Amino acid sequence: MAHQAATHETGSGDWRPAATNAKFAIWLFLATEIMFFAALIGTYIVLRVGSGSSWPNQHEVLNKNIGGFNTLVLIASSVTMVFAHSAVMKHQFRKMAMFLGVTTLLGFVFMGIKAYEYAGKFEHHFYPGSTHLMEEAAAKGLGAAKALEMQNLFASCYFTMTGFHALHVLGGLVVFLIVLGLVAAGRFGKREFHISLVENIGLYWHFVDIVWIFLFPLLYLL
Amino acid sequence: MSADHIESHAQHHQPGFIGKYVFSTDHKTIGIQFLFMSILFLLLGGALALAVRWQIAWPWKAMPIVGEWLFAKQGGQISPEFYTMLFTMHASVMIFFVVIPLLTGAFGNFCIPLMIGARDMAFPRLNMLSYWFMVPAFTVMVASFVVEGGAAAAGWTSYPPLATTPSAAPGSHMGQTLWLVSLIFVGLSSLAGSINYITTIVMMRAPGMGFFRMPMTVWALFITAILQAFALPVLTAALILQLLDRTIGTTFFTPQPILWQHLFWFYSHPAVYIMILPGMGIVSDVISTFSRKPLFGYRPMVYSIMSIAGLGFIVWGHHMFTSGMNPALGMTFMISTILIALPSAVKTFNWLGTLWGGRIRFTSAMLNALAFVSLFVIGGLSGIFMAATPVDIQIHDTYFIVAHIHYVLFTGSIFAIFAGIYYWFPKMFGRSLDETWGKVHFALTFIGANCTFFPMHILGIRGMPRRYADITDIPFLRDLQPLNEFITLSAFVMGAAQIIFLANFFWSLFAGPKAVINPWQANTLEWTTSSPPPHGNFGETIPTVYRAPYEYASPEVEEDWLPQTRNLTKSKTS
Repeated sequence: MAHQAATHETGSGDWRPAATNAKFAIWLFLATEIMFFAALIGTYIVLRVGSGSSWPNQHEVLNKNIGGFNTLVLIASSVTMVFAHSAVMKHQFRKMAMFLGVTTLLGFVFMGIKAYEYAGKFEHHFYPGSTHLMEEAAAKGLGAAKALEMQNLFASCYFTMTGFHALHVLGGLVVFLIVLGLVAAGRFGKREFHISLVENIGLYWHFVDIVWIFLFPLLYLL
Repeated sequence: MSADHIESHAQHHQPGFIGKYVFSTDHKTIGIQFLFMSILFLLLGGALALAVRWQIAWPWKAMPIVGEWLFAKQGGQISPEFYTMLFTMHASVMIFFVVIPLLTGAFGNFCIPLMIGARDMAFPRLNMLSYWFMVPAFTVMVASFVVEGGAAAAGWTSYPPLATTPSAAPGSHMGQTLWLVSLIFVGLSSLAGSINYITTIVMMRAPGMGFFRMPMTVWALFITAILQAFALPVLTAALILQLLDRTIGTTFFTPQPILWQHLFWFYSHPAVYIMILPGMGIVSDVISTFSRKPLFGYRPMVYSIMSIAGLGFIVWGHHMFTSGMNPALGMTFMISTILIALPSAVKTFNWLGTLWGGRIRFTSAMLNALAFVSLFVIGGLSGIFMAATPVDIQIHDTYFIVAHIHYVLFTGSIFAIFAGIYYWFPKMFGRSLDETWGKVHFALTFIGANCTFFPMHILGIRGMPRRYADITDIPFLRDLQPLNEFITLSAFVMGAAQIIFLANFFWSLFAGPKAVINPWQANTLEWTTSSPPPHGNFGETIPTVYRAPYEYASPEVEEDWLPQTRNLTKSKTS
């Protein structure tokens, strides 16, 4: 090929990775996402460790059975994503669409359970800046106020970390629906990047999954 | 595959006016959009600086224009909180809307594809998006000046609890919130830009353009993009946390306000390298070209940029020596900070080595580059002072810090930016800047900058604190007032000199003499295509690269330059 001939002639090893631009960029993007979540998780660890014994008992607030089930749902969606990728590599678009459909469904199940959990927290006035809890604490005196301050801090961490994770899940689901729409319209596979698109959103989906694998034990178990 | 891939971008469709100048996906147009936007904000940031200087030199005297307009009831005398807003917004505007967008946005966009021999960025539409993310950013920032309470006034570092408590900083109501929103948009823009730059440089270099044949400007922008991609998400997270603290009632920075400082400086220390490394790259290109000599120690230059960037990630604590830090940790940050002097010195010696024995052409670009080298050394040396914890505790939050940052960011970055503008203007617009007026502008700026920033070292050593609206009621500082007045007058001279630059810039844009393809007889790829380059940058075929970028005064050819695209083996055999 012309390019190899040129490399030989110019006497320079102009090496580049054997990947498409898009795949290279998605890996880079995920690396920046790691830094983003590292900042959130680091903030949580610093605040929790720094607060010592005054930190609220998280197990009273969070139900680890629900969280654990949701973890399973998300892991299962990663497995079906792998099947979808394997199908698209063999150009079996119908099979890919089926597995991607299941992945999407599981993603929505995850979001549904998350919404159920959020609703429960709001019912118990457990959310950042909850005026109800503050009034209650003011009535009880200084000690209760300190405990509630910590409760508010924990609520801040919980909602921000899971909230940004949920936004990432939602972002993935939107792209899944676009791909499924392309399949339904019979237009999927017409352009070359469609194939690599499934791989790239798969990479993203696994990343979102891994973030949850960190969030679940940090928030629900430890 | 890559050669095919590059060729597939070569469709020469002709975009319409809107597509060509407004919603353009052409990296050159996007670079120029960044350039114009940043020059506009340079004027705003400069005006804010002059207002700050006016207040310090002549405290509570009626401020010209601003005072009459905003503080007519007080007889033109500004309020203390207005002063606080002035220095906060001066720093925010200069850092986030001038220096970073000029270096990474304007030069990054314009230079990278041209210098590596690509037709455009890897993702032209993402590139366009990275510019258009800046539009909400600067709209929100400018709008914050007119909301109730005025713009942000908690310093550009935005430390809690001052910044998170709505009533703490005077005027920190809506302004502070808008400041946070604006910077989140800046972050998204830079992130999109960085991913694009890294992908473009790694994947889309022309045939023969090995990594170690890339010009220093590209190397510097490459490392900068990596720095930005990995440091910026942490700031974005921190900005979001502070925004939530201010709006929905989270309390992230209430129990441990120092946490913000760690998150903030984890980005903002690398950010000072983001603001200087591209300048170092530009200056390397300019110095080699106008010394008519190969860049001395090309590989050590590359490795020292890498080590500055690497060390840049582990030194952020030196901004927090006075915040009450474990001495062992303080020692670690001190040593890692002092280590940065080594690669910086390598670079300085290499620039001097390049100049040594060269046939120097004193063009405007070269003069600005020489100013960069000489004045960056001053900023670098004062940096070593404050890296040492005991010294830093003494001079922390004094004008010594202000002197240091301006020697690095003004006489460093801004002179490098001027060098870059004088150097690439003919390629950007197809016309040349006037050299005589360029030199007048350089001389006035050089003198003005030194008279402005050098005495600040003395103010700092004498203990004058920064961010105070009025030091005349502090007895031991009272005799510094004449020096402060001198600094302010120098600052006005420097500010006035920029009018010459702007006049030269806009006059040349429309009426300057037409530029030839290679006005400086330089070697790199951008000088092989027309001025300005066409859509798609290079003609029918992408150039092939046969050699390193700085082969000036080569004994192999008669001319004293040897372009990267020239194949000597072929011409000898034929």
